[in-house]
Amino acid sequence: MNATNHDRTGRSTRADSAALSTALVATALYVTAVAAALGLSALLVMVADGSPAEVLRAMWDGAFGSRQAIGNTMVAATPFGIVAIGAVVANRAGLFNIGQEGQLTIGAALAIWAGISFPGPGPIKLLVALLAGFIGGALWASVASVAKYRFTVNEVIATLLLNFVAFQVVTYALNREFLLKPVFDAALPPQSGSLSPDARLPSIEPLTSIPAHSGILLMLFLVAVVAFVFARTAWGRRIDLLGHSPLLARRAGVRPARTGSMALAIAGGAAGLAGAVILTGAVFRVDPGFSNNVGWTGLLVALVARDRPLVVAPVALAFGAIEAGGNLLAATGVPRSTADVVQALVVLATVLPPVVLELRARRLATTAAVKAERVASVASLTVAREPL
Amino acid sequence: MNHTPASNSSAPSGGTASGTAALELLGVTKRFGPVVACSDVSLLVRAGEIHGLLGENGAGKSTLMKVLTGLFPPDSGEIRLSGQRVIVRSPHEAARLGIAMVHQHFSLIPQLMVWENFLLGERGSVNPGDARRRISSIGERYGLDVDPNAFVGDLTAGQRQRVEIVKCFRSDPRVIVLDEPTSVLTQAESIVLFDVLRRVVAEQQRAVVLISHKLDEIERATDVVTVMRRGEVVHHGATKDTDPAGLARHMVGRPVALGGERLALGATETVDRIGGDVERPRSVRGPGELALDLRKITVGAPNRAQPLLDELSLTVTAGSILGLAGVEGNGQLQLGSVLAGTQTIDSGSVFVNGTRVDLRRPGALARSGVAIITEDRHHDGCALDLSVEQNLNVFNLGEVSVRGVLDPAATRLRAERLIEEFSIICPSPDTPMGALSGGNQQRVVLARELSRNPKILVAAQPTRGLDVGAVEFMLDQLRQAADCGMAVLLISTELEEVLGLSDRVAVISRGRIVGEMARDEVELDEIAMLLGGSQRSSS
Repeated sequence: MNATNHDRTGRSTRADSAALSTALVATALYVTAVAAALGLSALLVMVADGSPAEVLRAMWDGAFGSRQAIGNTMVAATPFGIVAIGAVVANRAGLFNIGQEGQLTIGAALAIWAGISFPGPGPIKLLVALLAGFIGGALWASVASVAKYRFTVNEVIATLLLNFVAFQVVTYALNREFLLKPVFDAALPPQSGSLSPDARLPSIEPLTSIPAHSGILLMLFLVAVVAFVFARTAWGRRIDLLGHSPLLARRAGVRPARTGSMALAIAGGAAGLAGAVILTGAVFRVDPGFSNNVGWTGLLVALVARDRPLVVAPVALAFGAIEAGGNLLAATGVPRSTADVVQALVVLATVLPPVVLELRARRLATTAAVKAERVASVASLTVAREPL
Repeated sequence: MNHTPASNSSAPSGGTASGTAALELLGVTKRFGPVVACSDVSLLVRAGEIHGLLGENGAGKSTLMKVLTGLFPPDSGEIRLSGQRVIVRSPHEAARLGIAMVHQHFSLIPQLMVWENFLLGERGSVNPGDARRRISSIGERYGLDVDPNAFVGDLTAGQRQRVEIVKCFRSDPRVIVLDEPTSVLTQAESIVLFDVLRRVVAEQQRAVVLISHKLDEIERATDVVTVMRRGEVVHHGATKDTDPAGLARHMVGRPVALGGERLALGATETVDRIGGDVERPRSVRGPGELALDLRKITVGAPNRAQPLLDELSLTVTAGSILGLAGVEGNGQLQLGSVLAGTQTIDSGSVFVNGTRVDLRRPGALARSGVAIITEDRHHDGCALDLSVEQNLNVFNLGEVSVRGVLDPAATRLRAERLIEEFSIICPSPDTPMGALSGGNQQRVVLARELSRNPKILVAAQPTRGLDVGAVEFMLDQLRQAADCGMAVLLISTELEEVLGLSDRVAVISRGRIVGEMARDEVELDEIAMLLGGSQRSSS
């Protein structure tokens, strides 16, 4: 088969050079993007009458400067990672859930309700609260599933809008004493009661002498579980198949509504669990501002990790470091919000290159497809025109 | 010039030398690499005539029109408009020169109103009132009645086509090219269209080129006909001097090329098979048991005047190949999707080995033993971003896993075995599917489907886009599948492929089976007539 041999050599060299140029482009893009982000951040700091070096120093100290700082980084990274690992599951099923803020809030509200009203010893209360958080988030995401698979409402729209509903529902509950408000007093701010100390996540300080709660272990465990699911289980394969070729998945017996709903429920459940972890590990009560953009940041972590489970953990820690580092900014005279801007710029710098690469790959693929089509028409003609 | 109405059964007069040459193509040649898509094609279209351009898929009609409208530059030859040589570099320029094209697939935006669509592509400020007036005046002049304020999405196919035609009159063209205009129309709508075209040429002395593969409408609507086959003009003359059978012969030619091609590749024994030699496997295959039984499948009925599949019934027996021939766009795509389980049907049923398959259940067809090489493998045949190994282990996840946990050794072993067995060329099983060549992707699909030991193998346009070697491999595999006792349904627009491979041949047209016969009984003229849309007169 001459044609095939020719095919082999021709294509492999072309593929190699394409891969090499893609790698070069990728590196160049990342370097440029991160440099631009840091440059812009420095510029911003100078505009705010600060010194970039001083700010960098402060952020470093805030994130890694002491045991306490490292603990803060880990505490901040934990919910990011938990939200992100759930988002990975939905993303890989081809569903884009952007309702983490709402799912997290609902999860936390259900967790505090369960944690306060459930009788029993502390550890049981803690487990019940975490479970309630997961279930709350999962149910909230399932509203979007029903909208999608029964009424063909796009899940992006549904999950986004449910964020606003979740916020209103929780605020309502926080103002009603029969729900989450501890005592009836109109003058009190809308706020839940406090979780009893025995139902809180234990600290890892006795073991590691780093002051942080044990949520980070839960996060790492979940990352490992999801990584295993996608690498080694039939169910993970089906999720990937559904996300990459829904029609082939259907032919292979994957029920899109069932599998998709499950993936969305896991994504929502993870966000709800993240809410419960924040509650039981750091905040201990729920108020209307509880989610504090953790849902969005978690989604960004998944985006930056490009849906690879094992990458989620380091990315979450990096985002946690930026978050924790921002705490010491006030001492430099630069507003705390600068950290958010820096974070946003870093996200852009890490998110843009994959998008650009994707677009480039798509353009190359289109060119290749056009070429292939031309070759195809030529080939079919060749078949027809071969000498009689 | 006195034209008889298009609906008259006698062929219209015309095409006489009286009209002036509106469009001339002189010696147009277009090559793609070593292949000549159009070879020294000359075409003379006179003002005031409807010129039919007839030919099978791949005959070079589309390439020729793409040259004319500036999508491809010709390698040699020239284009003359009203005697003057022009160079057409883009469709925009073609429109400016007075060449308008109505494409087979509409380029309208359903969410916009008719007048908004009318203005698409124009420059300058938007004047709704002016646009509406222009639509109305064009409509009155040619009998193209359209409501400028209707949303295109609400219109029927026939009305949408009218919008397209009105739109192409915007630039006051001298030459109007219609590519397969009736493929989406009902019989009645087609007649109306031909009346409009007749008026356009008769009253305005414009020239119309009607591209079609339907013999009856060429007979009915055109003054002059040019038949193309394999990039060359094989017939040219006044329509009234021809008959459908004669045109069909010109269009299809004699099916010797497939055998010849095999000979050229050194696969001489296949020539013997096609020649009906005793060694031909078909003689070994007895009348097998009924394996696949489609009963009155209807698709796309409620929203269309013409269903995509119209009570289609078809049976395939085990150990034989049924070739379903047909011109592209007559329901083959939908039939393939139904058999892939990705298309919902309005009515009808599918029986596999006598058991009815519940098509609503995902995976039911695959489980019942139907394997399919789908027409658009990127769409529903494979997942390009997943690895070759993942694409090979799709239907068998239960076999390579224990309580849901995959055995990596088993998945990899299976992938490596299939890669070896089907000579798939890839660096490793972990290579993404998208990095493979088309022929190798198709082999992955074939390997996956055949490794399930299916009872029925459906191959929808399985050789499309493949090079000669890959085509040969694919066809051999289909033949072997039938020899092993599978029921093979080959859906192909390549008539020669169907004739070279099949034990029985069926023809699909407008979503129906219009004829079926054993390979031995095939009469070329009759097949050509069936492809052209005529119902088989006797069984």
